[in-house]
Amino acid sequence: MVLGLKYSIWASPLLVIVSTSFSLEALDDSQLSDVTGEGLGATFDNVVLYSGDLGQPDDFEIKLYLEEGDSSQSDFLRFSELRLNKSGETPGLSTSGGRFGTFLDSFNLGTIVDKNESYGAQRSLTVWETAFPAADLAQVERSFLTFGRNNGLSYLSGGGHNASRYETLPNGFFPEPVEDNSGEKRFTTDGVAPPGSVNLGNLLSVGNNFALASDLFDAELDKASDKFDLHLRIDSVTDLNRDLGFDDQFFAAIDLTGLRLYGTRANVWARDVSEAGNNSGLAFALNTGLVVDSIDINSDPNGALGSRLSLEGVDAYLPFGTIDQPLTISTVQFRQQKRYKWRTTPHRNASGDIVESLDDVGSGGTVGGAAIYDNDDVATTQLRIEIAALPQQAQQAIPGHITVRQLNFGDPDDPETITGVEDIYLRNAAGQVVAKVDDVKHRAFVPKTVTYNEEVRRYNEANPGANLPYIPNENVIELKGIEIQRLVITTQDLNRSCDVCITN
Amino acid sequence: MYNQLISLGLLITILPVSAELAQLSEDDLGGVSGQAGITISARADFDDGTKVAFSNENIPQTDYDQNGNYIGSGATWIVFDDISGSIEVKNLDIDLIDGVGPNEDKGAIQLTLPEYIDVNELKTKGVYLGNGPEVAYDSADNSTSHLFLIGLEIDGRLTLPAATKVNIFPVEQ
Repeated sequence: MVLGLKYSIWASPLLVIVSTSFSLEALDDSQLSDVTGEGLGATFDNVVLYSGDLGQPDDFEIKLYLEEGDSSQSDFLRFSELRLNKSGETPGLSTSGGRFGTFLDSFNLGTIVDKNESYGAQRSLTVWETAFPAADLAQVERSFLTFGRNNGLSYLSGGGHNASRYETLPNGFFPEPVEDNSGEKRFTTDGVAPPGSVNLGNLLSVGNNFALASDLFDAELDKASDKFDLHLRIDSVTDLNRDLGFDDQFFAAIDLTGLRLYGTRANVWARDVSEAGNNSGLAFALNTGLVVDSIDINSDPNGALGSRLSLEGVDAYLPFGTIDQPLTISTVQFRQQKRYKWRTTPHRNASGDIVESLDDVGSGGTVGGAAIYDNDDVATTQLRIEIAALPQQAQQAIPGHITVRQLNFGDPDDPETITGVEDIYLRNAAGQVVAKVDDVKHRAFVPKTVTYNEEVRRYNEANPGANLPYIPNENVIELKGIEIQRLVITTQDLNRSCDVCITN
Repeated sequence: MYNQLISLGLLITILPVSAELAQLSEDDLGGVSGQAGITISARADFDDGTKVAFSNENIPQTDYDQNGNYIGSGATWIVFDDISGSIEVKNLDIDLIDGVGPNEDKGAIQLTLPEYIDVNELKTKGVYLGNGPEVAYDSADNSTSHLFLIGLEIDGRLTLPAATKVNIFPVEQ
């Protein structure tokens, strides 16, 4: 029946049981009656993973070789310094553990459920479902502009807002640039009368509701899981740096701070070739939701600020496949695309060495087969990852959304990242200016609302009881409504031997 | 149809594995007194030639592509070829507990994850796709019968210092 039965599992990893003390407590009847057998859940407490710095005795590394053959000569990617712990704690300590999942909102190891296609043949599918804690939690609106439009922000819904630079704020909240003596417009207010009061309308109340929605989202996540910090180092090793030190092989260090998942679940089933054609094989319907306080990527082995890219306030929700539009992994017989002129066999000289030109075959050599001037005629087995075409009746795929509040490039004090220096006027709840902060540095890809709120925080800390209101933050990146209509990824063998090809 | 499928319908393992028994020290013994369940330390060594291959021959296959050209027969296999190295875990506890859940009236299997996982050059020569579970190497031109996808090697110690506990229990949909 199956070739595999020729073999037997004649040894499996043997376990060495070093201690056994049997005092198991049986479930009582009431407990047993609660067992439904529908699936298994899991909770994790005191989660800490740690490995030492690369090259140290307690290091841990995973190498991915990208070339076939002698591993000592192959290019590879190396992942090391894997560290995972509760956010804000010191990596590697027994007290740094975080919690992941609860009894009522657990990590679902696997449940067998039936799901129905909504379109086409509308088949009923038996799928294996796994889900992370907070899998039912939907993404919250992270764009205050969108939230304001949908929730009656007065100067937006009234149509009277004509500010070109700060869409989520009333006109005049931030002073416009002024002309200096040379006639150049500058973002400074020195020597200029303070701006007057601004009618905030319902900015603060709508902003509070916006913040409340985010807080409720965080509170639900708090129930399900702690925030985690994740650290990882990536090295890239090639012939250019194979014999050099670790610093020369360093590619990047990645730090995710305050990491949590939501809305994340996976359905897996088999999609038969008879019903799905090429888009068959293992089928997946995946949803991934990710909130991260910051993602730091640093390309300097010593972590120099000048080599960092930091994304703060990241919220990404992405569906990869659905029951009606699954992501499939299969293999195909695929013809190479035209890159070379392939021969069925190569020319060789008398020594057996491969030569490209017929003139180099010489006496005693062998002439190769005919060159094929089209695509490779040999179909090879390749891996294909595909998201099926969206059913026509569906019209719209389930959209994904990505928002990033701010980007930080390099050293914050690097003059090249500072786009300007401007005084900031802090306002109270009535829109009146109550304080001026001189010469505040403004940075590229940091919304001015973020810069303003930072000054509010400092002012409130320095003036207990002042409690100037924060304003809703804008985002520097908002990708909304990401839909995948169809996606096909097919591997190609770039490393295919040129024993059978010529390049001219 | 010219595509061939992989699914997890079949597992072949050729695992020439050796294991060594480790005698407990007095300290180790002292650390497990009065404990319910079992405590496991384990080490598995994989000899050269160990491999794992998956395929599913029950799905209809074809020997020809859409142009009628012969492309080989049989199912497509994914092969983790030539696995070697070892992996060791220290003090993995498995207990049966009760008193979990919001009303503290449920039972669960509780795993206390090992103090560390030592991996000593656990690697595969390559992950391959091709017809059949055997990857043939031609030393004359260093070619193989299967498509090379990626090679993998894991080495070092992963520490779990906080006695991470995993509770596993039945759930309802």
